[in-house]
Amino acid sequence: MKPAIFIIDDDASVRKGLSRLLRSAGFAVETFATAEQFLEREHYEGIGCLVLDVRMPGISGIDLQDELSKADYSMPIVFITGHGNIPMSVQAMKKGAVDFLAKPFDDEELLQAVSAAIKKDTEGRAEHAAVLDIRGRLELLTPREYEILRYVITGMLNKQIAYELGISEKTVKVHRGRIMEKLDVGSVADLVRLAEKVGITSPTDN
Amino acid sequence: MHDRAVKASKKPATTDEFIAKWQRIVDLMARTVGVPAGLIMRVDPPQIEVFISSATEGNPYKQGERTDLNTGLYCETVMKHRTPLLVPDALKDPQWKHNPDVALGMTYYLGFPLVWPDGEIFGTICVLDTEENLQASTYKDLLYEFQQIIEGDLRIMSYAAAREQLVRLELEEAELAYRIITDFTYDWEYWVNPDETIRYMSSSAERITGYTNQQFIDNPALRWEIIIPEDRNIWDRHYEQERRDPRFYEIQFRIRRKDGEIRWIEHACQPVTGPRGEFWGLRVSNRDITARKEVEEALRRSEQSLTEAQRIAHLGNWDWDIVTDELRWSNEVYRIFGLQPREFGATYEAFLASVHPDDRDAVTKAVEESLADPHTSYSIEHRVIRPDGSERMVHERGEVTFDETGKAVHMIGTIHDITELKKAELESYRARRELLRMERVSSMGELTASLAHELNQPLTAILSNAGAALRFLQSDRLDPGELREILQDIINDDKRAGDIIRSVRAMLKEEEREREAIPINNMLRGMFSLFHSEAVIRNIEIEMDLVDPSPVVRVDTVQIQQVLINLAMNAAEAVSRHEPEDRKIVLQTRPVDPGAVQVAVRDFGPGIGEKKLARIFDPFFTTKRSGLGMGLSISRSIIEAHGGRIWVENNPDNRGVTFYFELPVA
Repeated sequence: MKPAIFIIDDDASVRKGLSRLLRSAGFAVETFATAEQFLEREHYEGIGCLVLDVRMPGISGIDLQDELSKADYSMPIVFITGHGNIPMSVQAMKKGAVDFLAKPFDDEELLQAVSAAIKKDTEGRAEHAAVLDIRGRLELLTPREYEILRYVITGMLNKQIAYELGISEKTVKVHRGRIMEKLDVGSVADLVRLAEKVGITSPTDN
Repeated sequence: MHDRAVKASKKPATTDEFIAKWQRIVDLMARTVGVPAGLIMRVDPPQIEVFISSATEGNPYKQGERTDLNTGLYCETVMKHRTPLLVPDALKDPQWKHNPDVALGMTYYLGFPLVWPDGEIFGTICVLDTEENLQASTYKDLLYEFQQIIEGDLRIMSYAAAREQLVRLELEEAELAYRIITDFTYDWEYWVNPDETIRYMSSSAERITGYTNQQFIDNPALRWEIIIPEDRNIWDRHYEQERRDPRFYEIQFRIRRKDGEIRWIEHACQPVTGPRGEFWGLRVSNRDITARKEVEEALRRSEQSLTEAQRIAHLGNWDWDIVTDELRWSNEVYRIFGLQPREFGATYEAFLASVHPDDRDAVTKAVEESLADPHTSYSIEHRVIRPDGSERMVHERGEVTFDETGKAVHMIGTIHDITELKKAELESYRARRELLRMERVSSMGELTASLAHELNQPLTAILSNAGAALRFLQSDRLDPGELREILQDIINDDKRAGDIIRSVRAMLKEEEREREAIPINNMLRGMFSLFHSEAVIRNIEIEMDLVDPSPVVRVDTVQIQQVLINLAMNAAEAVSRHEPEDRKIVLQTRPVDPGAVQVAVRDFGPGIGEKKLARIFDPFFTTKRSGLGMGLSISRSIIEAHGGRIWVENNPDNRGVTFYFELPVA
């Protein structure tokens, strides 16, 4: 399935030109005259990106970026603008925009930006799938096991964890074995990487 | 009359000196004549008294013995007739044989009257004997001499008494005059003894202080007590000074009257010395100067408020007596001229010395015209040079008074320092001009931004379409129908870009204002008047070289004014770093063929390099530190919009540049 590019610009000529260019590069393209029209569209689940004009009547490009972020609608954005300025572009990039192109731009510039966006989306999706998988496995842990996990990722020895929690070293050892098993990891190093991906914090961070 | 009668009966008292003398005469007379009794009788109506009686044997008369008159005494007859009387033997004379002296055995009598110098009878001098005395009769002449001596004494006594009386009267009169003088003085007069007691205090003290002169005499310290406390040190210092080194000088202080009212007193005192140089204390004269003080104070306040007003308004006034050439200036005039009062010997000539040399002729002319013609008022703006070299701009107005022959005798006037005013005017003009310029520039900026945005859309579309077409060509997936469509879109977008540029150009074009026909020289003169203050402040000379008659142009006067001011300001900036003698701008108008007039603005500044000169009309090009570089660009648009042209050349001698523009003649 081809990645889909969504072009949102209030200028018909621009939409038409960009659409042709991106189709010529092998992308599936959909165009919208306003941000509102895009929001009305069915939620797109596949790989793709937005080519978004900054200044438009109604919801502006920057506002749409905020809305999508709030709605957890993850899609990389390439901004295009007729009179952008540096503060505006910095703000947009901080919020996760892939690129900020000043009109008129070269066809290569746009295609590079769009390719980068697709790559970012592909990777992001894989990452997201991995995180979902880890979260599913973490749900198998008992509260006690989860608590011990938080100590284990700090690098503490079983003896130290037992002392901290006021239980026997043997009990800690049993729990640790079950954690490794449930999370399907072979070493403490793997365990730490996994915890980082989903943002599990050590007890001292609380 | 009464007074005189009293005086007439009052006779000087006979002194012991005279009584002793007369006693010796009477004794000598009795012994010489050889009679028992020699007498001086004094009448004291209704009696007669034995005043002097000779100390001789057998003399029955005792000194001081008194007898009633009208008893037929010899002496009565002598006094009555005022002639000598000789009775040789009273017993043989029926007239005398019963007179009282006969009873004493005194039958012989020789007597002479004694009369005061004023004719009043004193009494008699006489000798008496018990028998006829022939010797006595022989000595009648001697007795006469004695009578003369006594009468001489009476004259002496009268004269002395009269003198004494006269002196006394004179003294009385002098005393009275002195009282009149002192008691009727209007001022408060007194005399203090060296021991601080009061020797004299005029009754006028009461009029001024409310206290009687007696109260001051009883309590000399009252003089000090009535002085208000804050002024007592003035008195104390003065008194101390007078004690140390008495001399005449005046002081002023306030007293509180008995009724509580405050009065201003001027006090003057003077040491008094007696005939032998001894210190007799201080003679003091106090004057009530309250009214004068009030007037002075009112005057002072009014003068002060006038001075304040003048200071605030930067407006001085002057008063010129043309006949004596005396010129009086208010303080503010001195301040405006940067002089110390009195430093200036105020005469018309000295005034002219403060006027800027270049303005002196104009000032002199204005003064002369107003002096010559009562209908010409004096009103002129000119510069003043202060001693420190700084310049002020002033506006003077004056009015002349003429005598009956029509000769100017007096002139009064005001002088107003308008330097700040002129600066403010100029500032405001500059600010206004700057604002206009900023408005123009900012609206151009906005137009530029909007132009850029509008053009970006079709350009983006064109680029994308062209890029897509190339890609389709390369990928061999080319559909000729699509290629046609793409090219058509590119053409459309390009047309659209052209339309945008045309519409923006239309927007840029200024709204046409009404143009009017005006002599070009009037435009230059108008600019000159606007620019004059700036030139004065920068010390720039402006030379006008205008063709006569002036060609008429049909222009938007506001815009042409803007061009002229712009060129003049540039020229002024170019020359303002030069020495004053090189700070010169020439404005020139010349007719040029065909049907055009040329305006030249020439400066004598440093000139401009050829490279810069070529770009000088470009927008945003400037050689100045401040400035946006739009002035000449706009000027060019304006001149070209009027169908004219504008250019610049360096002057042939490399001194400065000349901007020229030409406009068609109407």
